[in-house]
Amino acid sequence: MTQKPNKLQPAIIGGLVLGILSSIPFVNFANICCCIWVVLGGMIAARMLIKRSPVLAVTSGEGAVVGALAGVVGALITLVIGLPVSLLIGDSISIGMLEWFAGVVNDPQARDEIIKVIEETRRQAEMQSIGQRLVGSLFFWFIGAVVTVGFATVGGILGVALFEKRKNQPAPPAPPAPGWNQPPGTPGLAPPSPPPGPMPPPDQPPYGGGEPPRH
Amino acid sequence: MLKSSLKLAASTYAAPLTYAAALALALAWLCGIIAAPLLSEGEGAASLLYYAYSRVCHQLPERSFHAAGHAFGVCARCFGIYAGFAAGLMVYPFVRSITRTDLPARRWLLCGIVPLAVDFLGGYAGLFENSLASRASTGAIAGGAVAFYTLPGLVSMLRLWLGKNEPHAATHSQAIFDGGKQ
Repeated sequence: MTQKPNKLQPAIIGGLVLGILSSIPFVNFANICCCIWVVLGGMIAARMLIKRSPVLAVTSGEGAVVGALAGVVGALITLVIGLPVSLLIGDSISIGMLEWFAGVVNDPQARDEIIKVIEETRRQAEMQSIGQRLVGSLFFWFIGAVVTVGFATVGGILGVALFEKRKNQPAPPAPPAPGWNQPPGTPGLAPPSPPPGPMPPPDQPPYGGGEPPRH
Repeated sequence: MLKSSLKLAASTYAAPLTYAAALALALAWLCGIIAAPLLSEGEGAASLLYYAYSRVCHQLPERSFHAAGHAFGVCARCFGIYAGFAAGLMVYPFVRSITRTDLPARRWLLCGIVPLAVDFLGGYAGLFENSLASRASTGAIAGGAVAFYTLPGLVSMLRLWLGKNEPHAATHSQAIFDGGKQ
């Protein structure tokens, strides 16, 4: 019987992609485009699952599962890599990014709002102890992890929608019913032809005894 | 006994439960985006909301809709995507059965994403000037299209979790979104 492929390896690979890209400073800014790295990680996991399933088509539910698993892996990677990085240099990067935004924005009112956020970020960075920042970061990491799993799940479903081309294939043929006198694990074989030799009399069964095989 | 009864009940109502949960989450997400500017007069809740949405959006004020003098929790394009997603979920039962787990044809997803891609890339390359309306409307088309793929995937996932085997061939009657292949 054809076995379904294991989802763990595709999930790990997809999770590695989304976790690492979401942890590297500046590279992770692409996630402001609707978590593009996260969705991409889910799609990569779905694509890998499809490649590892040469016989059976991958269903949308399987794509969702592998996407969700990739999201979990990615969230754990951001916990291990991204959280320490953000604790060490996160404020500097945030302030630098906001200053860049303030430079490119044309609207004076918007610029004033961004400057207020910069000042608030600096004030909070100075006031909070490392313990408070760690607790806060863990809390916000958890919120981010839930969002990551959700978006990666959607990415997995979209990956199946885009890459799985076997949607309308007929189901694999059912194995023959027991009683064919065949070794197990050989579905789809024709019943053996009668042995050569003289034909038995009409009142005797063709295979030398017993009931004829039933379908 | 109780566990198997609960499992049987859950598998029977998997599709409606999934639909209700997905719609509730989508509307809650959307409400948070709109609530952020309305709560901005007080500090705590608004800051939390803006921070949460900052993980998924640049929140540039000049590219966002405003309410009560403050920007929405996300930009116009993102707001369009999430509003379109919620609207797509609301329209879904009138177009397709919520119990279906097969996905619509791929071309509908691509048709939904292309306007967004054109608006984004064209504006980024300076070919034309896009606006809040163009960003929101192309985002809404993409979000609506994604909803028609997300719901059957979630229903299929829940059924997998409950141990119901999924057919590998499409077994439902033809529908406009399936290109007549079923």
